[in-house]
Amino acid sequence: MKMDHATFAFYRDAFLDGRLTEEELRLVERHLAECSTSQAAVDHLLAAEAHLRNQPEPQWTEELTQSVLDQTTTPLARHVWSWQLATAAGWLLAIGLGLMLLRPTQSPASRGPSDGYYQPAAWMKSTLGPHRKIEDPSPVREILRHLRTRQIPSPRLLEAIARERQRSFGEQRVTLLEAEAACAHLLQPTAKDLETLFPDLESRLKALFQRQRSPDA
Amino acid sequence: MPEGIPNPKKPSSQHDARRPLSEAKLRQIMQIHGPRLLALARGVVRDTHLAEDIVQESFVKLWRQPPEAEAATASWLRTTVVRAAIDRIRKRQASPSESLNPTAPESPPVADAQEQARRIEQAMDRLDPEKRAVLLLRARDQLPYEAIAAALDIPVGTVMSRLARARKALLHELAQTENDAAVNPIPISRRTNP
Repeated sequence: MKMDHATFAFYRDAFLDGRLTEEELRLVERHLAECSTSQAAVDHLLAAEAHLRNQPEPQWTEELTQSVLDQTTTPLARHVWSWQLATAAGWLLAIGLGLMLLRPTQSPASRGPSDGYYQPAAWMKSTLGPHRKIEDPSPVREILRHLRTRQIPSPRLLEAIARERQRSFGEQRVTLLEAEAACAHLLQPTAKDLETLFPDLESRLKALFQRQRSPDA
Repeated sequence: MPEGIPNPKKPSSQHDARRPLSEAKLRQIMQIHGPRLLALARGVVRDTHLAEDIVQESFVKLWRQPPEAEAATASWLRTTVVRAAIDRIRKRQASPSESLNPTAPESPPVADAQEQARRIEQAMDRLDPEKRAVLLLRARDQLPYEAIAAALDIPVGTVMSRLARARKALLHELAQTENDAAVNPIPISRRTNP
């Protein structure tokens, strides 16, 4: 039995892929021996497939490797690709901002006696805006808190209360003076401390005593 | 779909629980599979830079969602690359403003074998990407029909018919390039003595 041209076209792919039975293969090979057109077609296809098969593989460069690694295994890439981490980061940021806005001013009680009053940083003042304007704490309120807690006031606070006393009159001035005396009691001052707190007090008291003894002088 | 060949379009639920690959593992996979995948992608899209993009994207996908079985990595990557390559070439063909940068041999042919290779490359350039893909998977990677079917997400019968059409189209294009060569022979200045 001979194979015609149309029948060979039907068997051609099976022949190229090695899917023919022995009988079919014998018929195809006989046809190819007799038909130069079919043989040329098979030769062309075999040459093309051999060309594709023997093409040298392109080089996978370190640059390409690094480019992939930059998109995957770098810490930033991990965060970018991980929606869960990105969501968690968003929540943390929101909570942090909320806490910062709602945070009260730092309590002076948490500081040592030598610390000054709490002053928010410039960036924080600008962030907080006009609705949370932070003012310097009142020295009167601070001295009251120190007397309640028996906490030793800082020199800066004593200076502030002295300035407050100098600006006041009458009963307010007497009250502040007594407050300073109470603070001095808290300090349990040495003679040197007293000289610092009440400069020339001893000499002024002596002068007062002498005036009282000889009012005519 | 044959067992053991993953389908990137239908990721398993177990993928979500898998941890991304380590840098060392990913680097090793790229070194092993990169050249072959690059050749496959370049053969389909006929553009070196686009092929590099496709293979890199496939590795990134692998890192994000590796297959359940490590042994399936090669077929997973091949499937991902060949599908991405066909998709990208189709999108490029749909936008006429973008032109391809064919990777046909840039140096002039210097002998009969090289002239034949040039004509084969020209004929491959003229095929559509599906036909190029099936020819490359069969001729270059020498895959069985089942693996080609998995890579292209088509039935085995369609692989056989598509392969037949691809070979027929390749023969047609080879005949065309020979006719073109007969009408426009290679300039003498580009020839070299054998």
